[in-house]
This record gives sequence, C-alpha cells and structure tokens, in this order.
Amino acid sequence: MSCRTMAPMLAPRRFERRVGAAGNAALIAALVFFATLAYWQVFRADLAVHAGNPRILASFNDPGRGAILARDGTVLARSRPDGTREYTSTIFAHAIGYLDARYGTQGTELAFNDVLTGQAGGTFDDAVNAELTRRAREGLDVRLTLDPKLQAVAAAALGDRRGAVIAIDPRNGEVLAMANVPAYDPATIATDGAALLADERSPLLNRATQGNYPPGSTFKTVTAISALENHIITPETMVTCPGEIVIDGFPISCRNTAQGVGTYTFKDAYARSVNAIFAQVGVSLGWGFLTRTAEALGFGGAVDFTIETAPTQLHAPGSAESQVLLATTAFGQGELLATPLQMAMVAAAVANGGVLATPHLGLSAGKGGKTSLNLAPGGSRRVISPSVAETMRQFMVAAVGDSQAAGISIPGVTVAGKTGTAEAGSGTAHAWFIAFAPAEAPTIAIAVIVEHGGQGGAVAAPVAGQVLRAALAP
Amino acid sequence: MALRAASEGLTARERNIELVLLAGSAGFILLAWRALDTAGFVMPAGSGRIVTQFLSMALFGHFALRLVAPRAAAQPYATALLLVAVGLAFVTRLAPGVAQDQVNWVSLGVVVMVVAAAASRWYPLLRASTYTAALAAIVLLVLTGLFGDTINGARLWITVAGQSVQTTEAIKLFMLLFLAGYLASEADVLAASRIRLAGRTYGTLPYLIPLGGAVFAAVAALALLKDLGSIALLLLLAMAMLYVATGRLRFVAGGLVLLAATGVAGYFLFGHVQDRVDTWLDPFADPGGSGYQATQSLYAIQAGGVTGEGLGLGEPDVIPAAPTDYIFSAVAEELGLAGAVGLVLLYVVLLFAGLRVAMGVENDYGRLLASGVVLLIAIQAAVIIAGNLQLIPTTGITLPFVSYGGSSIVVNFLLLGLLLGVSHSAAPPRQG
Repeated sequence: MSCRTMAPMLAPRRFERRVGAAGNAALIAALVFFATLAYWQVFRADLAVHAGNPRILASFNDPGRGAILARDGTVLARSRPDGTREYTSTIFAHAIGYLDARYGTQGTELAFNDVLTGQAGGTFDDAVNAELTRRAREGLDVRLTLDPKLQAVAAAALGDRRGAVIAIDPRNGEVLAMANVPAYDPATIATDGAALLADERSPLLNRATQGNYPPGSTFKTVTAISALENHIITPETMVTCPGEIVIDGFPISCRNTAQGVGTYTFKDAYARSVNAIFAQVGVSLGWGFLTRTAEALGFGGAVDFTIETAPTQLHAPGSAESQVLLATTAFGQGELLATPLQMAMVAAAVANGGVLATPHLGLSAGKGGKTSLNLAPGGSRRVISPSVAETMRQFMVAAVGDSQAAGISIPGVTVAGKTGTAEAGSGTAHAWFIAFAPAEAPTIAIAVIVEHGGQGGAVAAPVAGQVLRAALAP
Repeated sequence: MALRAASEGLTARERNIELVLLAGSAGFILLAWRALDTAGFVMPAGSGRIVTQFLSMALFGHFALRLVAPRAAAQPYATALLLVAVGLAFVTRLAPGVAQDQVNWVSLGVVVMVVAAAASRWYPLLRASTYTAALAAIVLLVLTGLFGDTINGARLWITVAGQSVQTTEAIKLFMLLFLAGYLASEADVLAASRIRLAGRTYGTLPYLIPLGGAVFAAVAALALLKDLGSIALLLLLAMAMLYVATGRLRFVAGGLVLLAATGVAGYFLFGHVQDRVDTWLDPFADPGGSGYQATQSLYAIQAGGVTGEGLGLGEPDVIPAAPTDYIFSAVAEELGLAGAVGLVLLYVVLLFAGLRVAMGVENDYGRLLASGVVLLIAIQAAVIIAGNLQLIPTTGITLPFVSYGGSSIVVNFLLLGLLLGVSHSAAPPRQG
C-alpha cells in the first residue's frame, strides 16, 4: 500500500481510555441537557403566562375555555361555541382584561390562563384522561372576588369622571370592587385597539392598580403610623403652628386647612390635616424610619397582586434625600407616587388591626358549580403594631368626624377615613379618599381617586360613601 | 465470492440484531402517524406513501448491508433510522409540504450509505487523500464565498444544477478525512515532545503547523461566510480528535481558547453574531424582534412539560425555522421532557456504538475515522441542542438525521456508511 505501516501506533489501552473519556464527556453533556430541559419544562411555568406566548392566544379561541364569574356566580366573560369571547358588562373590563394577537394580553384572562384552559387545577384523573385520549382538557371556570353589586355602584358613582375605586375586604384581602373610568369593551379590542392606545384618556390603563398619582394627605396616615411606631410623638402631644414652619429655608404653611394655626394635639393635626405639622414630624422621623414604614406597607415596589401593578415610589430614583423633600413627602406631596390599590392597602392594614392580608382577585375555580381549586393566595403579615393600628383607627374616625368628608354618613355605622387633595402639576388637584367601615369591626376598606376632581372631602368621599352604603346597607 | 458474501449475510448475527432493532423505527413512524391522525392533524397528500417509502428504504438498507457489510455493528444503522423516523414525523408535522422531499432525501441517503459502506471495505485507500481533502474543503469554501447564496445572514449555499447545496456539510466530511489521516500519521509525534531549546520544548510545533494551518484556513473562510455554527463544529471536532489521538488535554484547552477567541472576534466583527449573542444573553429583552426565535423556542419547550402536549397538539410551528434549526424544541414541546431526553439518549447510543467500533479496529487510521464520524455527529447534535436550550448562542446548523434538509441527510448517511464499512472490515469473519 504505502511506506507507512498500518500497525497501530496508538497504544490500544491508551486509545481505549481516551475513547472512554470522550464517552464520559458526552454523558456529562447529556446530563447537562437533561437538567436544562427540566429547568425549562418543569420550573419555568411562568413562561406559560408570558404575554408574548402565542399558546395563550390559541387557548383563548378555544370554545372549551372556562368562564370568568363574579363572586356570586354572575357570568362576566364566557366563550361562545365558535370560540369568541362574550362579556356581560364593560365595567369589569380591567379586571377581566383581554387577549389579542396585536394588542397583547392582560388582566385575569392572562393571570388565570392556565386554569381557564384546564392545564392547571384539574384532577389527576383529568390529566391521565387528557394524556390517554389526546383531547384538549376542558377549562375550569374562574370565580373572582368581585361583588357585581358593589362594582356597579362604584362605576356609577364615578360616572364619567376619570378615576378609580378599589374596595378590599380587610379581613382576607379579597378585592370586592375595582372600577375604572374610562373603561373599554374587551369584545372589540381587535378593531378598537389602535384607537384605545392613541386615546389620551388612556382607557386601557387599569388606574386602580397601574395608575400612579401623588397620594396627597391620605399619605399622612403612613407618616402618622411611622411617627407613632417609632415613638416620635404621641396622639396627645401638643403641637403648635404659628402660621408656617420653615424647613431648611423652605416655608410650609399650616393654612392649607381651616383650623391649622394654633396649638392642638397631634391627633387633631391628623384630623385637620395640617401640612406644616406633618412636615415637622417627618423631619423628626428622618428618611430611615419613614422609608421602613412605607416599604412595609408596600411602597417603593410593585405590589404583589393577581394582575400587573405599577411600582410606586417614595421619591424619584436618584433624588437626593433632602430635608425639604422629606418634609413635603411627609404630608403626601414631594415626589410620592401611589396607586389606588396601594392606598387601599394602607386603609385595610389599619382596619385589620395592623395585619395586611394579601390583596387578590381570584377566589376559586371549578366546573359546573363545583369548586376544585382555591385561587386565594392566602397569607398575611403584620405591618403595624396592634396598639398603633388601634390609635390610627381612632385618628381616622376623628378625621371623618371632623366633617372634612362629605356624603359618607351611614345611619348606625361609624366610618373611618382620610381625605386627600393632591396637587397635580398646574391642573385641578386630584381628589382622594381612603376609608374603612364599620370602624369597630371593618368589613370593607376603600380607596377612591377622581383625577383633577378637586377637594378630596367634597369629591372623592361621596363616591366612597355610595360604595360603603351599598356594602353595609342591611 | 459473491455467493459466500450472500450466505454470510443471511446468517450475520449483527444484521439479525439490526433487524430486530429496526422494528423500533417502524413502530415509531406508525405510532406517530396514528397520533397525528388522532390529534386531528390534516395529513399532507400522499402521507401513506411517505410511510411506505420510509419502511421500504429501511428494509432495503438493511438487506443491502447484509450483502456489502454483513459483519458491521448492528446499532449505528438502527439508531440512525430511529432518529430519521422522529425527524420525518416532525418534518411532516411542522412543514407538511416538504415531507415527501424529506423522505426522498432519506431514500437517497440510504443508497449513498450502502455505496459508502461497500466502498469503505477499502477505506485505507482514503488515507492517500488526506491533504487532497483539506485542499478540497478550502476550495469548496472559496467557491461558496464567490458563488454562494446568502440565506439568513450567512453564505452557506451553492446552487448546483438548480439544487441548493449546503457546502458546509461536504466541508465537514473533508475535514474529517483530513484530521483522521493527518493524526494517524502524526499522533505519536504530537503526543511526544522531544526537542528542548533554552529550557523550552519545541518538538511538537513544526508538526502542528499543517494541522493548525488547515483548521485555521477553514475557520477563517467560514468566518468570512459568517457561519458561526460550522466554525464551532469544526473546532470542537478538531479538539476531540486531537485528544483521542494524542491524549493531550492541552490541545483541548487550546481549542477552547481558540473557540472563545473566534467567538469574541465574531462578536465585534459581525453584526449578526453580535445580535445572536445579545439575544442569547437576554432573549426576553426584545421578544417581538431579535429575541423572537429564541423566546418562541423557550415557550415551546416550556409548554411540553414532562410528557409533552402530544404529537400534533402543540404549536411548535410558530418558531421560525422550526423544521431545520429548532426541531429539537418542537420535539421537546410535543413529546415533552421524556421525548427530548430520549432523543438525546439516541445520540449517546450512536456515539457509544461508534466508539465501540473504533476500539475494535486494528489500525490508527480506521480508529480515528470511526471515532471521528460519531464524534462529528454527536458534537453537531450537542451544539444545536445546546443552542435550542439557550445554553449557548443559537447557531444555524442541523440536528443530524432529524432536521429537514437534503445536504445534511445525505452527508450524515455517507458518514454512517463509512463507519459501517470500517466496522465490517474490523470484525473477524465468523468461524464455521
């Protein structure tokens, strides 16, 4: 053949060892692949509800997709035999959400997609049957925490004024009403989508969970909690405001309210909502204590909720934590941004004796009226000490009693609350009101915002009053 | 002589085992067709013919091997055909329009395999072509560079008689022939370091020059063609074969450094490489744009879960290039973790079967050729699977025997034929 010998030059045993090593390397690579597959296929269930996943859209057009129900079983959304989705009312639009190839997906249609399609929550028998018969699984109906009566009252109370109402059962975190104005019709999103996105009134925005507003005086509740918890002040401590208080050369008036000038208790300063006193208390507190209290209540991040929420902020990222900014933050302006959901959580935490139950929209899932899956996340955490929560309850009862809030009296029921009138640029102020009732044993906590509505006590409080009356009326 | 071969073929033990193993691919393709039908999948016209053609060609290949390579190991052909069966089912499901083309390519591939297996009885003659193969690889690269068509940002295709041919598939084969021939001659020199000068050893350096030169030329040319996947494949193959031939881990380390350097250089030199790396680092940064393919692949893999959505019941067809570059993700979706693990294991079995053949060969060239064939197939599978799983940036190479594509199928069957020929030659005739 050639001058080269064909006898092996590679010692056979060494060659076998190297070939064995190559085989071992391949086995290790295979194990890495198995682990990676398991990571993606078993542990990354979050990808199934990614907005960009086309499987969601496909499942949306499946006639077997489960319905979305209100807490009393009223149908809010269901699939027709041709796979299109029908909706009974537009006032639930933001809670239900939509799915569209072009405009994406949001709301509980997205959050509970795996249950609505039957991928999650079925029995073991269902899973085995689906595997054997190779038929798509039947979706489960999802029951939300929303009370259709309260939702209707909330939407009607807002009328055509832009804003949001969110009501929570403070004992368990169930969201009883979540109304937004303006709303939209999820059924026609495919044709209206572009116009809705271009609409300067932002009808697609879920104001209750994603609308970020300066909270105004409702935030004094957070400052008061922090000051009491950290023993900066007591309810009966006498405070004095001569007309204005100067912080670092920046004057803050106490004439933002009728009886601001003079000497009175801290409790009265809260009830009358005196800016200058809260500026002073804030400065005594310092950024550290105020930030810790606010963060415990959920500020500074996106609240963990059934559907998407916007991150709130104590101050703009990167802002210097100056004394002036601290003073204005303490009475609810500064660079503060909060969602109505966040402010409702503050009211709910006080209402529930300082324990914040995780707010949520999902109640249960099942088929044909039979519940097979609990959707409530459960869980609660103490965010305010019991004694401070009790003090704040009295503060909020006094604030409502100070007759700053109109149209919320309910015969035989004591309401606790706090108004807010938040400066918003050059326009009319945002009207805020947070409340809970009955004050002694609260079953509902609420936050209302009316964008550019004016005085919180005159504009937002009556909206809350209608919802509270509907909830507590015998 | 022919009569003896025929009688040997009739009783060949390895072929009898192979026939039993082939029942696996037959069973898979029949089950797959039934599953697709049950799932309500609209089968392409002539889908029955596709199955018949596959089964006939499987049997043709088997009986032809009884004649031309009766003593060749049983596992390689059976394993490859199971991979082909999986591929055929998924190509049919993902791109029904080209299912008939795919089975035609498989048929051609089986014929090529038989011819290669028959010819490879005289495989030591191939050794004379060691440097010709290196030259051919480079000429082919230059031709592709000059006359090639650009598809997906990389110039990998050349049109011959109206048919697009992916030249990198042929280049792989030539590089394998070069590496096997070259290393068989120089392995002992490369492994030993003799000349010491000023306290340093230079013995291996002159011998590394031809190897380094050929690999470098190929890599540089591929870089110009912007085919990152084939660069990775060639470098990894060269490293693996160097290690098997010399046992020197420093060559593996050197290869890894070279691979990293090529990657870094590619990142800064080529926009599309940069895009792919950025997409790899965070596919969800731009899920609707540059990250679309990667995120759709991950959504598909995730949807599979442990047991899969079932053949025909998932939506892997939304992944761009699913039948070629992302067929593994499609398998992971519809057959789940179980199916994807099975597919990986098939490549492990094929690799082990080939390495076992290599260990039984008496000469260096045959050993390196046999181990090189399966290392090439296994490395290619590993690179594309790792890309699909987002372990490395995506590369546009095929999953051997599974992906849609004529050049890939035919060349892989040619490699398989080479392995079977070497295997047959190495096995002693049975006594009595």
